Amino acid sequence: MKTVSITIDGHVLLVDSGDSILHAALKADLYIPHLCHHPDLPDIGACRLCVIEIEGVDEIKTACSTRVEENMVIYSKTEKLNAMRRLSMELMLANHVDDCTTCPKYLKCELQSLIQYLGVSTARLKRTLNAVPVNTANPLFVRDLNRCVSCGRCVRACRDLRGVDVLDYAVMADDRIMVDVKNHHLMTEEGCRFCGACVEVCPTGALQDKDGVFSDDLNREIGLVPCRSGCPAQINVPKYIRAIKEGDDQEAIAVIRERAPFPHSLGYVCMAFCEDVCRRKEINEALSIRELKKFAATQDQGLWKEKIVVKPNSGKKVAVIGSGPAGLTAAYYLKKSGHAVTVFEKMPVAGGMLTTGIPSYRLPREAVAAEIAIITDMGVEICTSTEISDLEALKKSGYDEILIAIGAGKGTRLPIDGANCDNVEENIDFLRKAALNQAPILQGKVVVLGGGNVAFDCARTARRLGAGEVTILCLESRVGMTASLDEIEEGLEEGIKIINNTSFNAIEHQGSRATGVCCQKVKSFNLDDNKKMQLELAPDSDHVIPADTIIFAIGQRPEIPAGWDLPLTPGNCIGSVDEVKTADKSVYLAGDVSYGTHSVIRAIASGRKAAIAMDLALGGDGKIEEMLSREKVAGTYLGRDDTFLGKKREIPIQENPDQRTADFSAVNHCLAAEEACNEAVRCLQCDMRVAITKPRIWASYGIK
Amino acid sequence: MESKIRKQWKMASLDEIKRFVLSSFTEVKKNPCPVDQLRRFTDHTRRNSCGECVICREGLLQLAVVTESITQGLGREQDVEIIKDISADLVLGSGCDYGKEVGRIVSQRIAENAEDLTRHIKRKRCDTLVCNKLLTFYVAPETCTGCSKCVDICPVSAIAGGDRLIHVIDVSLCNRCGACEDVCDDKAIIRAGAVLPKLPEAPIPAGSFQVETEASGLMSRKRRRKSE
Repeated sequence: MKTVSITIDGHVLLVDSGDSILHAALKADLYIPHLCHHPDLPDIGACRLCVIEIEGVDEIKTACSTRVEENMVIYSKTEKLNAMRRLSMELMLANHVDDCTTCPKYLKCELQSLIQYLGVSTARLKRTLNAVPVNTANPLFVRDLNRCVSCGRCVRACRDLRGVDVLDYAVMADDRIMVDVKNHHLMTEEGCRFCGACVEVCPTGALQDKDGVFSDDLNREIGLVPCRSGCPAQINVPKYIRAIKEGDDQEAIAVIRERAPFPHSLGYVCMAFCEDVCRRKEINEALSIRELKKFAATQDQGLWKEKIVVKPNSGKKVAVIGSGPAGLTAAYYLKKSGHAVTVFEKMPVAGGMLTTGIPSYRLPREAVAAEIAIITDMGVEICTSTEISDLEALKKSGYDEILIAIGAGKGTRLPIDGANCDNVEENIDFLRKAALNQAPILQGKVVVLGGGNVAFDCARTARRLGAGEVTILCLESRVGMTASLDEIEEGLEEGIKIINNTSFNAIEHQGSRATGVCCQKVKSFNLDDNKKMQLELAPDSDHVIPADTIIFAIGQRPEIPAGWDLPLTPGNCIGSVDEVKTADKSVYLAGDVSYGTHSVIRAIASGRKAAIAMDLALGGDGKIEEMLSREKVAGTYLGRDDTFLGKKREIPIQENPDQRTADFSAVNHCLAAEEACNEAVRCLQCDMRVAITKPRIWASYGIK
Repeated sequence: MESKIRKQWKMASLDEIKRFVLSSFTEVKKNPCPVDQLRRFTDHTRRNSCGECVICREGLLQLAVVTESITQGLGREQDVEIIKDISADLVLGSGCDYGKEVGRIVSQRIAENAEDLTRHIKRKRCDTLVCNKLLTFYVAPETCTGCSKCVDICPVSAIAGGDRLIHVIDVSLCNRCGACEDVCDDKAIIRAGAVLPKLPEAPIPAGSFQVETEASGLMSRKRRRKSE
C-alpha cells in the first residue's frame, strides 16, 4: 500500500494512504480521544470526541471519518478542540447516571476512563436523565438505557459486523432518540442471534450479560465460551460444532481429539457439563453437544493421526496403575512425550469404569475397545489381570515414575442389620459382574437403594438380567434425586419403579438370606451448609418392602490395597498436592482416586494434568497440547435467519423400551448427518465474540 | 409503543434542511417573547434530530431543557454561556447541516436578544408577558362578572369569590398556570408584570368597583425605574 506523510501535533508519521487520521494516529501510539470509534466497526463520527483541525481546512473534522492525505498537518489537542470535546462529553454525561461505583462496568468502562482523561463532570449542564427501568425482559442480556450514551457501536456491530440488524436508533415516547431493538420489540421478536457482539462493543454498562452467564475469574478467550470453560478438559466445543455444521466431520473429530482421547465414549456417557452452561438453554434448550460429539466420533476416518507428534524416546519408564479413562489418557500423552509406558490393570479387560462399570447398553464395548486400541497402537503396553499389591516392589522394578489411577471402585454398604446377607450386592461389584458375564440370573424382586446415576445403572442392568420387578428406593424427593433426568426417564420407561422420600433402616432377613428392606417415610431431607445430612423421619411409617435381591447404590470410594503406605483422606482418596502430585516425588495421581467419584471427562482432564506434571519431572517440556485441526478463527458474519431461535433440539432415535431390556445393546442411537447438521446450526457461536478486538484505553498510549 | 419515523438529515439536501429549520423558526416567531421563541424552537428541532451525533442529539436537548427552565424562572447565571457554547459547537461540529443550521439561528438569536435573556434569568421578568411563570395574573375588577368559572378551575384554589362577586387572585398562592385565563369568557384575567393596579382586597359585588386614577400606578413605575 502507498504511504503518505502526515504531521499530527508536530509528530511526523508515515502512514498507509487509505487510513483514517484516527487509525493512523492510534497505530503510531498517538492518542486522540474517541468513543464511538471501535477498531472492528465502520466509523460514523458521532461522538465528536476525535475532532481535529487540519491546516488549510476551515471546518473542524472528525479524525475517524477523515482520510489521511499527503502532507496533511493536523492538530488534535488545541484549546478549541479540547473545549469542544469537553462539551460533547458533558452533554453525554448529562444524560448518564452518576453512580459509577455500583455499575457492573466499573473500572472496565471506556466512558469512565474518558471522564478521567477529559476531566469533566456533570456539574455545569442541566441533567437530562431519561430514567427508564432497566430492561431484563430479554434472554441473556440486560439493557440499561440510563447508562447508554447512544454511541451506536451496538447498532453497527449488529448490522455491519454480524449482518443481523436488530438494533437501531429509535424515536422514544418523548421524541428523544435512543438505541433500541427495532420496533421497540424484544430481541427474540426481531431475530437476535444472541452472539453478544453488542455487549462486547458497548463502552459503558448499557448492555451487559445477565449475571451468571459467564464466570468472571477466567481469561476472556475461554471465559466467554461457557461450554469450553465448563468442560473439565476444555474441549473447543464451538469449533467442532462449526465444523459439523460445515459438513467437515473429520475436522470436528480432530478438534475433539486435541483434548481427549476418548471422543466416542464421551459421546455416549459424558455428563456434558458444557450443556449445563450452554447459553442456548436461555432461549429454548441447550445444544445437544454430547450427541454431536458422538456423531463426529462415528464419522472418524482417523485423518487426525497424520498430525500427531510423537517425541523421540526419552529412555524413561512410567508405570500406570489402572486402565480407566484417567490412567489411559495419561499413558497416551506420556507415550507421545517419548516415555515408555506400562499400564497395569487388575481386571481381565482394560478400560476401568468404561468397560466394567458403565453398562454396555449405555456405552457399547466396541466403542471403548476401538479407542483403547488406538492407545495401544501408539505403543502403550497394557497388562490386564495384573494387580499391584506392592507399590515399593513396583518402584524398584525400574520405573522412573508411577501414576496411580485406580479410580473409585468399591461400593459402600450401610452398617445396618442384614447388610451383609448373601443376596445383598454392592453397586460397582454388581455392575462389574454383569459386565464380565459373571452376574447371576436374577429372579423376582430387586430393590436398589440409592438415587444417583449408578443406582439406575444397577436397576436397569438388573432388569436386563431378568429381574421381575425392579424398585429404586431413595431418601430424596423426585426432584432432589442426583440421577440425570435422562436416566430417570429411561428407567421409568423400562418399568423401573421409583419410591422417593424413603429411608432404609435395616435389611429383613432369615439367616443369611435377605427378604426385604425395612423402611420409614422421610418427612424432610436436606443437606445443611456443611453438606451434613439433615433427616427427619415420619413417625409410625415403618413398613417392609419385600425383596429377593438388594443392591446398595449409595456411593463408592477408592479401594486402596492394604500394603500401599500412602496418606489417605477421609473419603479414602489418596492425599495429593494440586490433585496430581503426592508427597512421594515419584508417585502421581489421576482420576477418582485423587478427588472422589466424578465423571469420565474429569478423569480425562486429570489424566492430562498428571501427564504434564510427570513429563516435566522426567525432563520433558510438559507440552502435550497439539493442533490436529486447522487454525481457524470464528468469522464475524452471521446474517439473518428467522428460523434460528425456534429451532428445537434434535433427539436421537431410542430403542423401544419394551424391547430394549431384552439384552444389553445400545439404547440411544446416533444422530443422522442431517440431524447433526441441524443441531449444529443451533449453536450461538459464543466464540465469535472472543474475536472482537478489545479497544485500548488512553492510558496505554505513548503520546496522550 | 408505536414506532415513529426518525428523520434522516444525512440523506437530505441543504435546501431541504434549510427549509425545514427556517419554517420551524418562522412558526415560533409569531410568539413575541424571544426566550420563549428559543424554547419552542429548540424543543421542536430537538424532536426532529436524527439523533446520531452527540452535539445535535444531546446539545439540542440541553438547549431545550435550559431555555425551558429559563422561561419557568429557574434560569441560572451560567445558562447564557451554556447556550452560547452549544450553539457555537453546533455550527462548528455538527455532523450534517441540520445541526449547523439550527446552531446558526440559535447563535444569532442569542446575540440579538441578550438583554431579554438576562432579564429572564436575573430579574425573572418576561417583558412581553408570555412566560407564565414570570408574570402576575389578576382579575380586572371592572370586567369580572363573578361567574365563578375561574374559581372552579383553579388547581391551587388561589381565587376567592362567589356568585356575582368580583373574584380576587391571591398572588402568593397562584401557580401561574393560566387555566383561569383560558376559561374566562369575559377576558377578565389579565397578565401583568410585578406591578399591579389597585384591586379589591376581597371579593365585592360585581360592578361595584371604582376605577382609580392612574397616578399611583405611574408613580410606582417611576420608583421601580430608580431602583433598577
